[in-house]
Amino acid sequence: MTTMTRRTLLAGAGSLGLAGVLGLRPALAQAFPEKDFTYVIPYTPGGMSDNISRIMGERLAAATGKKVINDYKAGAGGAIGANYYMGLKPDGYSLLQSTNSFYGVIPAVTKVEYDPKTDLTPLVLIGDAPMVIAVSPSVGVKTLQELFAYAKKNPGKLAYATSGRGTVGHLSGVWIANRGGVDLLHIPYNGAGEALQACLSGEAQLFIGPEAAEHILAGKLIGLGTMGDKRWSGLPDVPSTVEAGVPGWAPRSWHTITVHSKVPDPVKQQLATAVNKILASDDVKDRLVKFGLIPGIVDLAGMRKRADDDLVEFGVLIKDAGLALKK
Amino acid sequence: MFDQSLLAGLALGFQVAVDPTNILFCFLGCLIGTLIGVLPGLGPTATIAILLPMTSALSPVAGLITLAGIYYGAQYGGSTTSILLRLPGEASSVVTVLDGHAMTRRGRGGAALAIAAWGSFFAGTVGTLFIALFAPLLAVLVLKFGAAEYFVLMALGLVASVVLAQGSVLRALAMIAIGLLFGLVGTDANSGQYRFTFGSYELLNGLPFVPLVVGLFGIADILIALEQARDAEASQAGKIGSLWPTREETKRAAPAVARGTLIGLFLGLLPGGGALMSSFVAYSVEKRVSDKEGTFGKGDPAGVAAPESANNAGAQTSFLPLLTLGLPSNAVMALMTGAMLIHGIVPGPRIMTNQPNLFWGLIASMWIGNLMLLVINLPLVGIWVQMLKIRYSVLYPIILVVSLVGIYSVDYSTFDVFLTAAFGLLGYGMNKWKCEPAPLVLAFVLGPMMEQYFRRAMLVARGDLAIFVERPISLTLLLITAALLAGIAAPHVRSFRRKAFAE
Repeated sequence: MTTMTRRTLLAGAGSLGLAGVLGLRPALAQAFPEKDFTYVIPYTPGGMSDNISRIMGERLAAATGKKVINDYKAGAGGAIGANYYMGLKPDGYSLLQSTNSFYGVIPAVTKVEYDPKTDLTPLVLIGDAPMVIAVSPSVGVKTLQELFAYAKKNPGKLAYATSGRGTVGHLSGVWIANRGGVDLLHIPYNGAGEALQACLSGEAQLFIGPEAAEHILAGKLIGLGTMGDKRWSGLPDVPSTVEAGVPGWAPRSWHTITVHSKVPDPVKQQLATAVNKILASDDVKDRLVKFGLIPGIVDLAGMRKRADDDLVEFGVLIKDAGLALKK
Repeated sequence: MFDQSLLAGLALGFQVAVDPTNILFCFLGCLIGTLIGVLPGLGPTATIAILLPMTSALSPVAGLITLAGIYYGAQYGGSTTSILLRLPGEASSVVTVLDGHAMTRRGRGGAALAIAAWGSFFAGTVGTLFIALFAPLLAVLVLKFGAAEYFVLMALGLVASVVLAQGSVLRALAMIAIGLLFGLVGTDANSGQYRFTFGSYELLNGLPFVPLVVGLFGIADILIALEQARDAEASQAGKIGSLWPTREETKRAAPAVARGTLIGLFLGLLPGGGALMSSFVAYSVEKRVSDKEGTFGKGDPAGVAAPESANNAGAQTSFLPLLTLGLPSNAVMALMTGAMLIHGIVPGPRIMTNQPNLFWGLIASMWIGNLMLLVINLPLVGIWVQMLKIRYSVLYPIILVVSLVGIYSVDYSTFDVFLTAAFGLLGYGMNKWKCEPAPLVLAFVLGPMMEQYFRRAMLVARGDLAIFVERPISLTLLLITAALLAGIAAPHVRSFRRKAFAE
């Protein structure tokens, strides 16, 4: 109990930037890490990235005996935080809480100061966020194929609400429209909460994202599919999009911790091992499941492949949607 | 059946809320909230973000009660600096500055603080009851508000802001125009175009709110005071007189409290600008209803009572979308969903049925929290007012440092500090040109929201303007706006015609 409180206190002080005032550091004779970590969170407190970074920072501090100082740099959909991160020393002591958007989406739609292929490396898979396609019951469709049929019969009738332009949700809508050969109208909102509310009130008919799950379980929305080739245990009755008749890659959302690619490989490996050990513990897994994520362990090579695949696949959708940044 | 479940729910809630641990944390939350509300710059969002990890050591109910206490405690505290120092720390206390600070100048600062505290308590009590009684019903109402309704409501707010102007209407319109332009800065949500960003990353998200208000109100006021060598005045404001409102002041304030509460209850439900809209609208309505002798802006107790009651009532009802639908209506509520997730509670429409002790416990603790805030704040009035006895030559540097540290700590951005300085200079200039900052601030906040809602309404209606008149709530609001506009314009048209005929 006492250690727990001290850890929480440290995490709290860390986000204040006052960690230096508190705490004793156990002097561990280790090559790495030998100093404190800076953990850049490129979003405002309260979101999924913040929730993840709080638990990961706390555990990393406990595992290494070093302080982990959370540094919030929100804005421009994450680009401000990523650019700020590029300015930090590539020594393995600066971490970036990130999603696949930093590899597949943001560099294509916003001006950034990094190359997703050569400058940043995703260390671990913290979890996949199930992208659930939800529809308002007022439309009267129960499956993805029925939705396509409805959209063909009633062109211009269906709109989908997203948390903003150029987000994974937006691109998911573009993907659904492409694959179904139908026309869907995009309505951007400020954040997932507003978008979900619009779908509940009937202002928009579709919403794509993990936030829909609770409302599907409560019977307020109908789940048409979970993007990808696997069902999600949180919504066992909702088929995957592959099962629903749309084969192949689907837009996805996953969370990771990123480091500079310039960090020496042994350090990357050491960090990845340390973080994966945290991710493998039951209580962390349990917490991530409660956040609505699907945890899993993926090695460095596997993460690189995920990032590079997303860059190509999202790139196609971004071009189709006319979202690509003019360089 | 309905009454039964309500009584049972409230009984359960109070049982949870009066648990000694929960009471203690409720008190702590309220105390912290009051203090950070008093500190300009540092707001409840930053504080809750900092304290969030600590709540993981508490039970879910105690954790949420603490955070909720900080949130509405800040609404109480936020009025203190507005009234005493002309320094609104929160968006919702911007209008409180107008009459609140004027009362301080007349040596009635203590009375203004007491009115704000009592008004907030009344509003909080009604707000809590209101949530308990109508939670499921109001959840439906929230969903009735679509883009069209929001747009018209914002338009109503903008027209009402002209009423805020104490001097020339033309100058107020100019300030609204500047506020709208400031509001345009940043990335356009629909097209992704950058507007007025001049290649700066810091401006991609638009101009930040706190530097704008602290600059325009607080810093500008200090500059003017420097110029006038106001130290001579210190002793006068320091003569505080009675801390309690006189009978006359109470008589002015009481009906304003009731009207403000009613407005806050409904506007607080709306996401985004709810709390802000409620204080602005309450002030505007009050000015229309009870400003018979032109006392508004010169220290009218009603001008303090209405917005303060409204923002506190709004603060209570803004919990409703979160508790009934799991939808956060502002940044603080988003953090509350984070706090729930830390404890493994998934925010959503099932909270009320799956977590009845959390739902009712939080509601009951809100009322207890409001009572505590009254107990904390009334004795503090005497202490805060002592601040005015400090010589300005000492007080002003302190205010300056505390504000700038607060602003820096929001995003750790030096850019924001420079912005504050720039807005301070602008505020000084505006004072020289007799232009008022309140309409500018309202337009700054409402402008971008109006644009977004308008464009969203157009998307929803596939470009058909009829959406604004086809939907009953939207049409009603539109008619009220038109009537208000006519009311404002009429005297000017009349005097113009008289002049025209005379020539």
